[in-house]
Parts: sequence; structure tokens; C-alpha cells
Amino acid sequence: MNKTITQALLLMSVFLLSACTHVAPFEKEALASQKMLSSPMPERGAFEGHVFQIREGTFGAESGFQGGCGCK
Amino acid sequence: MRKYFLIGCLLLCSMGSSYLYAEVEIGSRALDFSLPKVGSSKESITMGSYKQESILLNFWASWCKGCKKEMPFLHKLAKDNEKKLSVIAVNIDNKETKAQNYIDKFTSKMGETSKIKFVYDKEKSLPKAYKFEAVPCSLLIKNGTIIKYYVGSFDDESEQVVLKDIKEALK
Repeated sequence: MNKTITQALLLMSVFLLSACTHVAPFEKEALASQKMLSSPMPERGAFEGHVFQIREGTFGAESGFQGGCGCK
Repeated sequence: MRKYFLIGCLLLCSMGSSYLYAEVEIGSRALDFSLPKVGSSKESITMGSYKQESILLNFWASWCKGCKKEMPFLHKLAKDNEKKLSVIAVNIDNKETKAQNYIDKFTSKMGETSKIKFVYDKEKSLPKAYKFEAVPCSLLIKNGTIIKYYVGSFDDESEQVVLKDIKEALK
């Protein structure tokens, strides 16, 4: 029985570890907060975003682009 | 026994997974609601009282740039079609005061009290029921039936589409 419980817990944690999830529109208030910007200075944000995308090789994972969950 | 236990765990996980979007079905009945006006918990607006009218039901938040961008257009719509069309803007902010602050600023910017009926959905019951993907979004409702669904902020092009749709609906 202990083994079953361990397996079940492991299975549940695997599911809970999924990286992407749907965010309801009313939950996006926190994501839209100024604190969530990568740069504290909006004037510098576009430049920093550009550098970030080149450095990290990411595209579409930021607020400035669509597909904000970073799955792309 | 073990098999059922694992299946149960899987089901539990899937139940708690997340909010899933769904497309609003055109032609379906609009959901009934009774929501308080922003800044006035005693006064409320009920869907039932607009059953015989055309409604533009808009969903917005004060943190949403697109929502604020389209507000002057909604203001003009409500003003120009005051007797035929009700523009109801449902706010989904976490705090009602944020909505009230924005409305106050908007009113002073426009120089007149808006004809838009601002209501506050504290429990987010309508977005949860419609399973919207994003705000801003709007529903055009005629005689209690959803006839159009618009997602995203209105721009010059989509404003013309909305005006055309409203003209059709008001015939």
C-alpha cells in the first residue's frame, strides 16, 4: 500500500510540475503589474527585451509579444 | 484497488489543473446576471431588464491597456445610440476602487458623465461562465441572444465592423 501511495504522489507531482497553464483573464492583473516588467525603466525596456531575446534565444516569451507563456 | 486509487489521483490532478478557454457560441442565450454598479453596491444592473434591447456587453480591467484604449469608442457608442443600445462594461479588477479611479479619470478626460453602465463583477462570475480567453472582449446581444463576439481592443478597422454590426442589430 505504501508503494502505491508513493507512486500516486509521484504521479501527482509530475502533473503539477507542468510548465504551462492557462491563465484566466481576471488572473492576469498580477502579470500586468509594473513589478513584472523586466526593466524598472520603461524607456530602457524595449532595448533590454531585444538583448534578452538574442541572449536567451527565446521568442514570444515576453509581454511584448504574443504567446506569453513562453512555450514557443 | 490500486488501479482505482491511481485513476482517482489522476482525476484529482486534472480537476485542479486550470481554467480552460472556450469559444463563445454565437446564437446561444446570453447568461443572466445581476451586478452592482461600480461605486454603488446598492444599485445593480440586471440582464433581465434589457431582454428586449440590444446590448454591447464589454469586459474590461483598469490594468488592461487595450481596454482603456477602446473606452472612448464605447463612450461614443453609448452616447450616439443612447435610446437603442445599452453599453454595459463589466469590470474584473481585483479591487473595485481601481475601477472607480479609472472611471473618475475617464469622466474628467471626456468632460461629461459617460452613458456606459459600469458594473463590477467581484466574483468574476461572468468571465468564468463564458470562459473568456482575454480582455478586452465584447458581446453583442440582441433580444437575449449573443449575435457577435469580439476579442481584443477595437481599432479603426474593427470599429467599422462593430458599427456595421450594431446598425444591423438595431434594424
